[in-house]
Amino acid sequence: MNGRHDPWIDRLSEFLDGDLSPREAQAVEEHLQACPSCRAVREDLEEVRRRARALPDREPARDLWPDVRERLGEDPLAEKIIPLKQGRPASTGRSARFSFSAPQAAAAAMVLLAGGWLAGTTLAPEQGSVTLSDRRPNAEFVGLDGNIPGFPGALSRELASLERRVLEGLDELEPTTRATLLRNLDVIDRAIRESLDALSREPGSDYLRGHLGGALERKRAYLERMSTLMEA
Amino acid sequence: MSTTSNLAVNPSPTDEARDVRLAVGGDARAFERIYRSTVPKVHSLARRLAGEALAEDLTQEVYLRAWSRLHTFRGEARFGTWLHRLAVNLILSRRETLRKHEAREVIGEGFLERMAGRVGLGGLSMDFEKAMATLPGRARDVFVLHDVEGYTHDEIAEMMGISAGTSKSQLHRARMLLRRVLDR
Amino acid sequence: MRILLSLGAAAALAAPVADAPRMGGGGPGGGPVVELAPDTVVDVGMGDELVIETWRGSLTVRVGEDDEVRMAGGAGVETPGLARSGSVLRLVGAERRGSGDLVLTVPRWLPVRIHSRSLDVEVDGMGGGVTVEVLEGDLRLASVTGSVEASTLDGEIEVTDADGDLRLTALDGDVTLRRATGQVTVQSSDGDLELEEVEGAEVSAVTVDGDVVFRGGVTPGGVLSLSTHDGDVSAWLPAELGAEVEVSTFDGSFQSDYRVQTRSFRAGSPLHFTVGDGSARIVLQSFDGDIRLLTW
Repeated sequence: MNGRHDPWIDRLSEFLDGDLSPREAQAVEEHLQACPSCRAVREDLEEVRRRARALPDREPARDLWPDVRERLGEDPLAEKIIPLKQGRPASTGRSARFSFSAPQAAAAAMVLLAGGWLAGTTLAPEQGSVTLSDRRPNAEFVGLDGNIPGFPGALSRELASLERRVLEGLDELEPTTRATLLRNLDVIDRAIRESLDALSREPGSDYLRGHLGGALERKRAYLERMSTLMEA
Repeated sequence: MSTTSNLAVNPSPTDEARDVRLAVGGDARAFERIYRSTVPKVHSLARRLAGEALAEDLTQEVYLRAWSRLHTFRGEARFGTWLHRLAVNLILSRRETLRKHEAREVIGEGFLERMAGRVGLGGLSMDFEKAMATLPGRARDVFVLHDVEGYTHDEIAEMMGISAGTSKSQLHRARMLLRRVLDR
Repeated sequence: MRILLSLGAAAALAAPVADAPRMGGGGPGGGPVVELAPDTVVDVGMGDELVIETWRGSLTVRVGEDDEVRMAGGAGVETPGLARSGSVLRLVGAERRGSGDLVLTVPRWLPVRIHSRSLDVEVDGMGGGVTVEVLEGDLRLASVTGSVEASTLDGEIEVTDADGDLRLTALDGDVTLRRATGQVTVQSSDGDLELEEVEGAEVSAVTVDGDVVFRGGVTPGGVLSLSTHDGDVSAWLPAELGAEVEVSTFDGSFQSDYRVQTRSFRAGSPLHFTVGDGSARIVLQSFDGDIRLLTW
């Protein structure tokens, strides 16, 4: 079955590169002798590696030396701003590349204070774990009123209460699982915070508003799932 | 360290060493010789790590940076190795900034309108180099540095600020994706 | 030796006993428990459902030819049992929570529901509906059809050769889906999503911190939606594509192999353009990362 081979496939690059221990390498070797499909993958990976090594280097399309000569003495990393040169097509391949505006940042006044949450509701359970007691629901992104800016207060309260329930249950979990779940929550919170931040710079962006809504919804779904599973 | 990440400066190591000494002393003609013999490698590296559009700017910056840092070259490693490492670090750290410059530039000039019509459908098969360019960012960087340039996972981890384990898994990921474009 | 027990018949005869011991006396809901020793088989009929809720360790579910549930492989320390309550067959351990490495064969049509804190799951060939929900563990599903729901908070999901309504959620881990058709929803928070040879009427892949790679097609009138917060989105589609495309990024770039024609473009709002007959809809989003729409 496909699935059965995959653990081996995952080791094949390391095997090719000689990055496995002798014992692991021998195990892979033995598997390869028995498994034609893994052998085929190994051959493909070898071919990919071979082609990468054989890629020819290419001169720039035009001679850059005159420009370099003229600018000798400039240190690009010492300067903050590189002067814009004349416009050139962004791509010479058949593929077009263009960029959206990067956020220009008069980083607006989002007050993202943990204290805001403290003023609003009771604290997370004191379970004696440093990670847990350090963590306060939504602390990353609620405003001074304890609410997520621009969203109904009910949503902030729902998220906070769900998160508290999950944090209470975390102590029963294995430390590694607990750490994973907390880190994940951080990932989601960071996305929410960055979306809020971006929205404060571009308040009219439908995309950002939708993106933030999606991130909040994801947090809610995540917390709900966690609390269901912790009852298993 | 494998030899692939060394830049083959002049045919003779003694010429290379002499040119480097002269360039440190301010001899631009010696530096031009260094430039000529190394630019295909540097430009290809920039193209693969940052894309065609930025490759020229980054290549120039590599040599400007190298010129201003020449006095720090101690001659312990080969000059080609030193320059190559400098190029990787500069490209990785500068490409995002340049991309944003590019963004403002092209949007400001109605770039999309100009692009429309210029881009057609390509053939069904993509050549290997183009396929590389379409890998997810981190996987592409690791693949270029490891399989094309010959750096070790530990070196890549240090240059990219990731763990060696991540470097290994991204390399495997890149190879598995590229495997699908092998036309055989 | 082969013991054959028809649990359906046994359940009808047995009087429900509350709070009975798990083994020998009765299962949850009072049904009888059959010890699933090797060579023991339990008959099942249409309408039945297999539920595995408390098992920890690893579980492999494979398809057998007969309408029976059979333990085909060694369960570590404990021998589990099956208890029937109405049409629900429930796996129970000798203690309240069983653990070990368990291999079951079941008929292809039997719906299976797996719910556990810590379990690696491998499911092969099921077609009656599969639900796997674990807190921690890797999930591998192959040759599955019908309704397939798989979620792990801490682990990876890999699904190959699937057709149906697929909902895959790995919150802290990568999701890989190869060769799939139907309705597909793939999610992660901290993980990469890789969809290879996937074609469906509605395909959606969303992660927060990770790359999204899609290679496949979208059916006419279908919707393909790929989104990440922090990572790249790469979609490889056939050169002969018909779709309305919408691309959004806050801080990233977009690269297209297709001809991009648009009347107006305002920084900060999505980029819209039409490819071919525009019959499908493609939405690509990355808050902070590059987006690529490529031909293969």
